[in-house]
Amino acid sequence: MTEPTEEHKNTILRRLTDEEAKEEADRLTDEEVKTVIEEGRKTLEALEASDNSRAIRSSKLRFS
Amino acid sequence: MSDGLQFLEFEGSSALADEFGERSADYLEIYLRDLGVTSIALEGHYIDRHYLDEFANYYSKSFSVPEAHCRRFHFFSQCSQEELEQAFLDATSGSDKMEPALETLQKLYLGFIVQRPLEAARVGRTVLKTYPDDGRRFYKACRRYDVHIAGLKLSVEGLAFQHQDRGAAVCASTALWSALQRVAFAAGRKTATPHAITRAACSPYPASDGLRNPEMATALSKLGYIADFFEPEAFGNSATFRALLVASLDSGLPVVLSVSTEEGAGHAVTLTGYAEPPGTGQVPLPLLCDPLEMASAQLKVVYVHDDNLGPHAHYELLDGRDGELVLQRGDASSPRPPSWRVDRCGVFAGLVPKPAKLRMPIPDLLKNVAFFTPSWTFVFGTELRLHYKCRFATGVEVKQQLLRNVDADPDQRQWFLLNCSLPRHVGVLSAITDQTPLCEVVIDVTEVDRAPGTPSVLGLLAVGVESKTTPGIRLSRIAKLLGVPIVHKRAS
Repeated sequence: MTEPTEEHKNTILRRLTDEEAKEEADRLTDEEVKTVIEEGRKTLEALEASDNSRAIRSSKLRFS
Repeated sequence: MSDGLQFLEFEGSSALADEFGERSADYLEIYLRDLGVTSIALEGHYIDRHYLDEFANYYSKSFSVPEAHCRRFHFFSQCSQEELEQAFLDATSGSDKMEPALETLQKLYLGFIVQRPLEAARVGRTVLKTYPDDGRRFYKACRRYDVHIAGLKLSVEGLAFQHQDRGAAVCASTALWSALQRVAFAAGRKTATPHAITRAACSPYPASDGLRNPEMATALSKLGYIADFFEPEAFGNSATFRALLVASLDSGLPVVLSVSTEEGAGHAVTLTGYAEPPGTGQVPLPLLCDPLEMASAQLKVVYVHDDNLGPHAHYELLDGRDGELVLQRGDASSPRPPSWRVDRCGVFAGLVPKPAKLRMPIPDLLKNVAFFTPSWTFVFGTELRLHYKCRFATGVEVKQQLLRNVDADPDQRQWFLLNCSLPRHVGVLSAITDQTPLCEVVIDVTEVDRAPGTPSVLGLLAVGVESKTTPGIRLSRIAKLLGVPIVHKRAS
């Protein structure tokens, strides 16, 4: 993937006209956004369930 | 020896060796000269609370009892011995020269070293300024120390360091003591002394035997803190461990790193800061989840209190031959001092003292970043090459930073400040492109998630994104569905 140019950034973060903003807001459905949030939730649940990083291994060594 | 304040020229490592022993003299000379040291004010009779506790509980019961008091050396830059003395005379004169003289002393003040009356461990509590950050060194785990001399108040930003004395405490207790200097200060408490830390560890063996990791964690618990703990081996890669070190340090939490020296001995040091990593890298996640792009994955240079060498020493994290994580003690291309033998130690674990209410484990910050990456991809697309950061902060800091942020939408900012309650401790998850922060998510970290898989989101601070942009509109919708406020960038 190539590095984004300043032009890329400006395009993505471009301020919309009032009409464009209304169209974008109307086009966006709650279902679409809920799906994305749900995807994150499943990832987090899976990571929480699989976490085995808490077992202390180095319990016998003394540090002095 | 006079107990009154004396003024001396700084004479370099031979004088330091005479006062503090050979062990750190060369390193301290280089460090102090880099800070521009020229002169010293010496308090001949100083009572140091931390040494006094060691004296009361250990040394006073010895056959040959040392002195109960210490001496304290204060270091100044850009002024000769005579000029320093005159500045102190002016600052204590009661005339209109007082204020300007005090300002001058503050400007030139580099910190102090307490000299303990222990032949083999004369370097007591030491707080010296760090090197300038120059935009590339990060010392968020340091704090302000108020120093009182001759009725005057000076301050220095740093983190206390000292040599282990091997009687009341060895490297593990001393490393914990340094780390707690910051955490206790943030919690509004006094730092426990090295002796108190050793005692709280409840080890049945002499202090000189050292402490195991569970004993160090026990000490923290008994002193009223939480011990967070993570090991490189648990993740199967070094990038995750590096990311957790940076998350800790960015949270103002020093890390006690337990290592194994080339001789196979266990040793503990305290990480106080780090240098900006050279770029971003990937922090792998288990279960085939997409990795997180984070600069912290490339962490290399760390600044370390190591009582074998000195305070804020330049050390490096390297990947060893067998995939293990290695702490190289020094810069191999330019050791400081030149006489220091740069060696490599295997890294066992990081132990992080945290305030008791900061209940979320540090590795969970990364998991919460993973929760939001689908949202950020949805909001910004894949062309912006986002990378991420995560840290703990206080609710007060978040609001203060927002208040000072002139780029924030003023109405949304005001509403957030006046209407949103934040807990004492929060997590801040940041999405960044290049060096520009786009959006921060603020989450509650004072409780373990009540609803598994769902972070306790408190707000979205999208101060890199205007509201009337495609990403701004999408972020607004996400905030609405999460039921949290949002602050956008002000319209330009």
